[in-house]
Amino acid sequence: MTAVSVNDPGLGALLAKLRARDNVSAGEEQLLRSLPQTEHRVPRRTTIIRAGDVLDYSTILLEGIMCRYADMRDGSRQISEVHIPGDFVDLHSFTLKRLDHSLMSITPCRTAEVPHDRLREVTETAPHLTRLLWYVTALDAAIHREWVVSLGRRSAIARVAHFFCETLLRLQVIGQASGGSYTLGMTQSELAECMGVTAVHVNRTLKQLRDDGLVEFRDGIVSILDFERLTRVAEFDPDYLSIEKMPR
Amino acid sequence: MPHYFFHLYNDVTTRDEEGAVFPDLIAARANAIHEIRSIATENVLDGAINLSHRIEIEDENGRVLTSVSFGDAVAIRGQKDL
Repeated sequence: MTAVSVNDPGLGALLAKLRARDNVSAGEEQLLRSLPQTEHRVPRRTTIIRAGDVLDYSTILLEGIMCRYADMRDGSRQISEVHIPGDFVDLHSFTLKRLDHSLMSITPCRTAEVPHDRLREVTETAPHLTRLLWYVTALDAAIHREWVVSLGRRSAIARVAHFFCETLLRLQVIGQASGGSYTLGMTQSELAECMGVTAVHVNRTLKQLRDDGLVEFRDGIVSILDFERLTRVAEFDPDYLSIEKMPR
Repeated sequence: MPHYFFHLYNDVTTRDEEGAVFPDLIAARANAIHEIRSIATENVLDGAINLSHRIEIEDENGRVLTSVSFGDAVAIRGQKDL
């Protein structure tokens, strides 16, 4: 447990995410960078918050990949969102106080705690920054809605294709995708837990995507070979990610 | 716990490079059945299921321990022309 540097690249990722959607003033940047109090290093595959825990802080993911998930009685798990650096992974706990799902690391991560008291100060003193934080929870909700559409309506191949397209765009915004390639750090079992299918089923789907020359997934690295065709397979329309600068 | 690999011989043949751990072969076989039911669901949505398709379970040394066919994993009842 250490203090978070105001220059931490993870906070830079959060600012890049916000600045892709609206202007952030120097004062707002300074305030945002001053919010985190403690940094944690989290080993891979470690649950940091369990559903039902009472929280008095929210967590910013500074580095690595995390996910939100629910456990089922039969030991299976449904992952409902994947988080990348710069995501405020449980900002909604500020108002919910207890999460209805758990949060775990996929890869080794670094996180920063922001006390809810500090967030309350932001809501009372910085209305535009408050709206930007409100925006990021609305963006999480939009991502969840697309996830529901995937699980309910898309075939396994379209689900995986959609997830790979979405993650590419989100990582591009924070400058962590090189060309069409990025590190997800997931196993095929974890990818299956995102997609609501079994591990061999997702492996079969990955084989189809590779055979079709669309994308390769190897050792947790996603390499998109043909983004245009992948978006068609996925019925991917990036509008819901609202990567557009406008007053919010 | 031993590590098992589940190679799929379906309309799409897929080698399992990652595998998974299970307490024993009985549990691994139960997993293969669960896997087949998931994949067969998609096959049915596409309009055809082949009961001869199978999953071969291999150990870490690449030795095939058992094979589970799609026919082993689902019961087909009734007669379509009745």
